[in-house]
Amino acid sequence: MSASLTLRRRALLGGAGLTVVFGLNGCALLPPIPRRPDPTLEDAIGWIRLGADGRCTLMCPRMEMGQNIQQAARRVVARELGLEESAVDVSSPSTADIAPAKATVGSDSVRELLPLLSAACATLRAAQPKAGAAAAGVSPVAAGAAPLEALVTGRTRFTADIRLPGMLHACVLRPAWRRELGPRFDGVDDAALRAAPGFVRLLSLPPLDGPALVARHAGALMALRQAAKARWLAPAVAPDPMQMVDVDAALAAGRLTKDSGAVHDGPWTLDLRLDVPPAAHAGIEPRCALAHFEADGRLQVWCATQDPFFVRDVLARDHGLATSRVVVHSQRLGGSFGARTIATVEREAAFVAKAMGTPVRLHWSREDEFLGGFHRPPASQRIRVRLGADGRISDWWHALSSSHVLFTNAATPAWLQRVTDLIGDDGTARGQIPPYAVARRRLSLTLTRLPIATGPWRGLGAGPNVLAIESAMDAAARASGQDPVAFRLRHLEDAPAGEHLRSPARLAHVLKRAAAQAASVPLRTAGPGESVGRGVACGVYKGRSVAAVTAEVVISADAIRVTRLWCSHDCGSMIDPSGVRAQVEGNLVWSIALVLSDELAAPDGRPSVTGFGAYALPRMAQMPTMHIDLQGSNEPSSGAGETAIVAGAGAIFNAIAAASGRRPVRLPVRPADVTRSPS
Amino acid sequence: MNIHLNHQLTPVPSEQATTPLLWWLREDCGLTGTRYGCGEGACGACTIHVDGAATRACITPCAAAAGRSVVTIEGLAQGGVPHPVQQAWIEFAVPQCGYCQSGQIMGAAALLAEHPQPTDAQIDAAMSGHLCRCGTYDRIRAAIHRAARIAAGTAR
Repeated sequence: MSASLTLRRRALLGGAGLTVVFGLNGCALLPPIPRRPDPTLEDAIGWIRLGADGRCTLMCPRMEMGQNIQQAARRVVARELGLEESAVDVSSPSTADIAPAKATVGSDSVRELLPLLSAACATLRAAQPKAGAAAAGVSPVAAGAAPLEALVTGRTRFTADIRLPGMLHACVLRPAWRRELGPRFDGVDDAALRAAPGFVRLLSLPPLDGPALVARHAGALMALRQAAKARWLAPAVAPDPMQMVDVDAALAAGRLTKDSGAVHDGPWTLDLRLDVPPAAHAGIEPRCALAHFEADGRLQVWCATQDPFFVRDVLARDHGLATSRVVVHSQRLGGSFGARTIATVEREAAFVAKAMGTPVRLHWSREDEFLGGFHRPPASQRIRVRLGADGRISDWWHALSSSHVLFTNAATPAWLQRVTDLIGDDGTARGQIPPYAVARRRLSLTLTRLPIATGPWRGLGAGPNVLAIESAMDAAARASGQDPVAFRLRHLEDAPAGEHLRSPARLAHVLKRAAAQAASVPLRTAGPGESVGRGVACGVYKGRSVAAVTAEVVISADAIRVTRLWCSHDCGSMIDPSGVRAQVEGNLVWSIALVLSDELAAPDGRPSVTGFGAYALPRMAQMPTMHIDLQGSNEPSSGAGETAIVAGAGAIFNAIAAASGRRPVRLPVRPADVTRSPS
Repeated sequence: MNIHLNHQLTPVPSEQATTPLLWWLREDCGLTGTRYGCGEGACGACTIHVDGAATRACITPCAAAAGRSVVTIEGLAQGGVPHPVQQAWIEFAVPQCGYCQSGQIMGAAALLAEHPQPTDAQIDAAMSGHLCRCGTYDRIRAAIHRAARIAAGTAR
């Protein structure tokens, strides 16, 4: 490779993860790196348009995916400009409307965006003292009612609802294995395909994972896919990713990507393993994109992505266009959870649109979501704990073996993966630093590139990593006859504050509350053949937001059921408390999923499940009673989108251990794991 | 072939007989509130009413609804008044991303038509075929109970 490559790293504001900035000379292979410029006041002023009618339009640079960021932004603008909330219209801008903006990731929007938005409004108000004054007479519609009304009447537009004149519909006939493994295309049933209604063309487009099927009608595509019966020859080597991350194998081989701190040799009080399988994001909206090359060569794309400017840059590279010649029109996301951080369906739609010379809509099937997306990487963890004579932790060694999420193999070419393999991955390791005071601490990280695509997921590594930590804390307390809450509080009293935990006192506070609230409700009485137990856990997300949960579970021979959750949560001052509560509710459901259902096994290197019929997700009948205690402190707002999962999952896991007397060694936990008598 | 679509007699081209209702509704009738989620009737995002019964439009061919009444999320409100389920959904701010919510609402409306005062067990049975990855289940349950009170005229 002739290109010279320089690599420099910078930590982002508030530990939002690492950005690697590549300076290079003429390397066409290099993928665009997600842009993370911090917005300026000037940028923020450009997001706001004041109308002569007393209304205001905000082009919100953070994408709406259910976190209700548009409502939080609306509230800030209305407050700062002295308008009714109903006088503020919020839209998703295109990449031509605003200066390049950061992706919507990491629960950072409220903390990073809204102070700037406030400042921009103040500037506008100073420049135009009458701004907002005309708002009198605007009817005081309840906050956010209009978007809600559109959602409940079906009028809200998602990407697949967009129609372009003369558009065709397409899908990619993709293999079940990732392209890097080398599955070989072995043809389709050509005669059946050509005879099927709605067939337009079968395209071979080398940049795509397989041939592209083009149809006249969206409804014809499913039947066409079935008629095509695309055949693929399996790759020669396709190992099980779960086995590849085996933490004991990594430790035995001394295969460590990163290793910090040191512990004393000697016997351990506890030595716990926890294996976490790959899992699918499983957002209910399958990805969709529409692409249209204008007569002058400009490319317009409509899609729902967390990172519109990254998508724009990828498409510009794909088609040799200046970035100013590509416009990405951002749409509402029907769930994302980290899945929409790279360019996937957008690239496919643009390549097909270019080949066909017509606008194209490409809507992934559910199977495409499982096979064409990336997944939560499997993780295999071992935590070793030694307690001193005083009942406190003297030594703590957490070894984590997993794969990449930030430098995902879904968007990083193989040669660049080898470069980034040396760096580690702060996304995978998120949450690995325990909040507790321990005398000696060692943290080890092994990263292994896997046959399946892995990438960002709600909370990145924090959910599984904090679960493992909280399980170990629980086990250590029980092993030494200490109360699990008191044991944690002992280790928080003199815990050092730092980037990983700004305030140990706030964490202790929510822990005490979650424990006290649960204690006021008597333990459920176990029925015949049932066992009941409670567990507690707490955690911090990205150093700022804290949460603690007490969980109650009932275990029978055929089911593990979470019956109650008490969650105390502190993300600083809240702009939209109902929205924060909704995020906590969602995180608690994700906690149930993390412990009891999330699993996308890939024993032969490809997802073993490709549809919702066979993929386990939490359902209505599994919902517990939730008691949510929002602690609105006066600290600056921090994120709520990924916080409660760091406490909810550990609490449920510890409740299972309390009820059954067994501490499971793998997720998801199944009844047989904790009810069968040991052989 | 005709379908009574949202209370209007609507012709269906014969070549669409085997097309799933979902695509006819979305692509030919422009009723995009009915969503595609899985294509196998497993997630509930495409739920509509066929003769009042909650039905998965992604696995139901148009011919199966010939001569029958089909109501989609766009046709649920009558006389310009939101259905009690829609009212309760707004009041409790149920949706997060919102993609599954048309189907959830249609499922809940069919449940209330059958059981005007549903128990939690009846809600579990009727709604467990509706997936929501954002995790809005707690609000859905509360909103269904609320809608029952609105429909009974006992809402405060």
